[in-house]
Amino acid sequence: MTNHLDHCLTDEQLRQLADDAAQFDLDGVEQHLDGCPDCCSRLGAIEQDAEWCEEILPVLRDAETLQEFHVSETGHDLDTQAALRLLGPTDEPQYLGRIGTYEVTGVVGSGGMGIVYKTFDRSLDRFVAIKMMHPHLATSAAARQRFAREAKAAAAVIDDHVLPIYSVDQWQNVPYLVMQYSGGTTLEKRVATQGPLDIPEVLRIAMQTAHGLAAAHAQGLVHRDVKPSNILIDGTVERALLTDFGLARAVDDGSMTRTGMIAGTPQYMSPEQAHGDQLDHRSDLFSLGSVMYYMLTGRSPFRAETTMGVLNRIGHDDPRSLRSINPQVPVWLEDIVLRLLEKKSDQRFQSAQEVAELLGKWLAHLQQPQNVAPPTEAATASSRGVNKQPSSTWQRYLCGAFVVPTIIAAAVLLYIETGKGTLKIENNSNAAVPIRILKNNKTVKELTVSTAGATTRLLAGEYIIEIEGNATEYKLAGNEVTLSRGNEWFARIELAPPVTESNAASSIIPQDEDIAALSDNSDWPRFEKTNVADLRRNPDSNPDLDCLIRVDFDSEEGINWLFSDNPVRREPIGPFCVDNISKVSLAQLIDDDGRRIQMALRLECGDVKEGIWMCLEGRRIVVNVTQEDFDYVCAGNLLTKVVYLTRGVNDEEFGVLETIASSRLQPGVDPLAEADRRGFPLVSATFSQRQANLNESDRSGLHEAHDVDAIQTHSPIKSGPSLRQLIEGRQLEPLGRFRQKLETDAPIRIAGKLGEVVLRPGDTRLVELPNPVLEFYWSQEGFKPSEGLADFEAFNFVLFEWETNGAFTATAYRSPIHRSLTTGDVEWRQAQSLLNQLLLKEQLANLDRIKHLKLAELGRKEIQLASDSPVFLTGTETVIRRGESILVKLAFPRLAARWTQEKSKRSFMLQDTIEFD
Amino acid sequence: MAQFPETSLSLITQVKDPANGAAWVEFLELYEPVVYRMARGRGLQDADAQDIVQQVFASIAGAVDRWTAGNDRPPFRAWLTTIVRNAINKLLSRLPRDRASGGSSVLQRLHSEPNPGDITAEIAVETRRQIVFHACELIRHEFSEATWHVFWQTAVEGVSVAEVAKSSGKSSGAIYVAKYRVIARLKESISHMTTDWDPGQVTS
Repeated sequence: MTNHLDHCLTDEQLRQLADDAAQFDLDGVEQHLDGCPDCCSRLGAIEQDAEWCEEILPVLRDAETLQEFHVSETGHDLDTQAALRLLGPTDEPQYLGRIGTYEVTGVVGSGGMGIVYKTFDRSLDRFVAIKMMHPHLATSAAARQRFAREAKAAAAVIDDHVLPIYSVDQWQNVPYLVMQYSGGTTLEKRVATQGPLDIPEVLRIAMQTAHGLAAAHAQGLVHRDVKPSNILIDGTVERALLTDFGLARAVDDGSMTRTGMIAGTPQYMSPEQAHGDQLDHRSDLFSLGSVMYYMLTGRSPFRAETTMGVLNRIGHDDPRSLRSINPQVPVWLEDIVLRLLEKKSDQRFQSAQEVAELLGKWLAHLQQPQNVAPPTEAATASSRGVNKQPSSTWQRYLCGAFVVPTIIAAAVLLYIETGKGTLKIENNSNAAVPIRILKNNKTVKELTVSTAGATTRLLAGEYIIEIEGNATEYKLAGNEVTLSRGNEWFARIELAPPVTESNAASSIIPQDEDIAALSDNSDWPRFEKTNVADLRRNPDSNPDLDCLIRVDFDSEEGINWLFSDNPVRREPIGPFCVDNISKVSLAQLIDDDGRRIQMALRLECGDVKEGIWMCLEGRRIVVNVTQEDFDYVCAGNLLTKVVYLTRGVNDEEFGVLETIASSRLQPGVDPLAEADRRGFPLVSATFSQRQANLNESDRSGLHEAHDVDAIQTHSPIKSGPSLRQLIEGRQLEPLGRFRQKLETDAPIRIAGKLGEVVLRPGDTRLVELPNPVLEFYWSQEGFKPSEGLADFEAFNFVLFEWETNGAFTATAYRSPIHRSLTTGDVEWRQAQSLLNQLLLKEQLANLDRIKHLKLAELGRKEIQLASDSPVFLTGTETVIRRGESILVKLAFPRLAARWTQEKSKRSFMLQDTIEFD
Repeated sequence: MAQFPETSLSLITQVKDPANGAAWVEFLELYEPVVYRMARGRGLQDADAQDIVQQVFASIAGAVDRWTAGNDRPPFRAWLTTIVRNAINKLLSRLPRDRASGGSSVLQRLHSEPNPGDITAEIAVETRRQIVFHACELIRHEFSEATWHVFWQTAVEGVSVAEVAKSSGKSSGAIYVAKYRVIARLKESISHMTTDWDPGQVTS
């Protein structure tokens, strides 16, 4: 090799350079290239071809986005366009433009206050983020000055949990901040994508945020806009960084002068902020409480459809109990959040430092329960729910509404005249209190109020509420009636204010014209109080059962849960089913008084591939729900509408009508059993009052569920299936059963890996869980999850059978599909621990030879082999022979890994090594 | 480069062989991130996306034996696409209730739900990306940090050679060589992978 290449590279040499540079004297080549533009351009040709330009380079350019696995957000583009117009021209082709001396490489985000750019600071050779005030907010000089002033004050705050501000400047008369560039995400995005966070993470983020706030408060700076999108989660070290100190006020200036409206989201504002009062640092603590609430539940505590609604709720309402939304939240944590959310600032914690210390202690305790004792200081919220002051207008309304109660021997009668509202009943005695609600001397609702209390919603009218128990005195105060015996109150009835948002929810028109048209169709066949048999449109048709779909409906909240709690899939879809229900839609029509006039549920069959199901292609099945039905439901009844369709139906049988009618089943009649007896239902929709965690803003309008995966089809059998037949049809393998009596009427939740099923007492049904059960609990506190079921091996079907006395028998089943996800010799085995799964393959001997498979606590399991046959772990295909002690790295962790459960999220962590010894 | 790697017969055969862990690993490295990203792209959280990945590959592990090549049979790619699509649809219909939501955002998402053809195309795009990433990972250690950095700055980020030469203190010739070598190696690696997984389309 020569030391210096004095001739241009040959083609051969070019190839060699690519293949094996080692045989080159690279120095020589490089020196030659320094002075030979021809060769340089020949080398450069490698990045000129289509493969590089079209296939590879775009992917690499995208690398940053892809590595975070983020999808670009919709709506971003418009913002981006606007953001880019602000930029000055740049000489460098690879940059988008210039702000001052900073070269802009991209737009990171855009918020109420400004636009954030990722820029390159040439002088310091680093990326920095620039936040530029929205130009329309910067029109007033006062706002600009304030922005700059606040930003400078914020820049003086130095803390590990405050995003550093490097400088403050102006560009084309618009002020901007230069901040550290953080590659992480925001708390808002984190929760939006991952759901509620687990408790330690909430504590950590809240603690760090509180530290950041404390640092700012120490300098007399109030943040004013603590909210999830202002808390960055630094990607690498999971550090929370608070941003945007004090800027909210500057923006208020700008936007107020312009529109007279409040900028941005008010959801995390404090009451004093909402009211426009003087603020101090404790306002930030309220917002911190809201942020914690958001982390724990995935939503902000005060929500309404309008800004004013939110502000009103912040000022007057108590948030819905954290623990009713997320039962995993410990009491002490709820207390902390509630104390932060006290309406009066002097009732809250008095400093961010105090909060940070308390959270830190709890975090330390959670992480090392053995070594660190829980903190002793209690965060008792002084007045939780009990002493709450109703708003004055409501109070007036109710004072006139209550008529002096009459006390009779065993019952207390209260006359209540109500527009429309929710009746809250609290029970202070040890036992459950039975309550009867009468209207016109007819019982409209009977309920048993447990110590957890109960709520029920009543329509306009006069009601008599009958409470069992000997009250010796009653007290009427505002909207509450308290019943006492001796010195102790045992029941309290409160008529809650009418829901403010309902006013806004008026005149919602179904957006789907088809639904509207169908709803208006007077020819709509309705079979109100019919005998089920009358429903058969064609008595001669084959009475085989096609499908059963059940939809639970909440008279108060609507049917939002349909999205997630996919009814179509959850219910026992029998051996017969519509092959491919592609869409479930729901529309409701609400009149000016907020009453639902009409509601329709639509099931659409998608493209059906084969055979007998062809006739259902594109068909819509609509369940019509009338106001009468609603009233019936609102009165506390369970309403089941059934749509019947026989197998093998075709257009001749159906006529042109796409609607197949609905009928009401008598309460207590199990549609499946009825179907079994009669032999033919297709769709039944059950509506009942039901408390659900719902998003108020979604209470009206067209609700549409997503695609449903193809439902298994089986060859039809001649008679409709009973639950037993369903079990047999699925060849479910019973694992064991137990019987238990429920003390309350609280629903049972059964959680699988991918979701949960809520079962209400009396609900006899076969529940399928998408994945094996890992958790089984009552939503009531203090009720022990049954050890009975936990003893079984992982199961994915449970049959609940109820007796009249509140006892139920649960039988756990495992489907053969689950039992052996097999081909050839691979077989699933479920480990005994419900928190663990392990896939084992035993090749030479049959699986029965594994006599004992037990997963102990974290990371260890013992397997006793009855033979010398090796164990195979799929994923690695590693063979473990007896006596071997090896550390196995599982190449395919998903199949063979151990799952540990994060209870609060019901999500799972993977570990991909398992040690054998 | 082929639009989608039709998995080579020999590799499918190897994947079908339960004793061949290496082929399975190779298969996974290519397709796991593809499925994961698609699931995340549909708004699933990490745990759910992991579940999808598990389901998909459990199905594949279970069903790969049943797939046989033949002119009248669907190609492996189509078969794989079907499994992925079904699993994603299934998961989407089972989002945990805590994340229940409605209103316009959900409607938007629903309406933007791609049809099966789009999913097929998306799998193709995602796989192509994955091949490029995977190739990068494979070859990266063959080069020094400095070489890779120079390559990335000039070839990907588009910084001029002169500028990089100035900031890195290298001669421009060295930068041309570094860039050339990495790109050539990357292309070669991609082409190998495409060949391995796509014997029928090498010529295209």
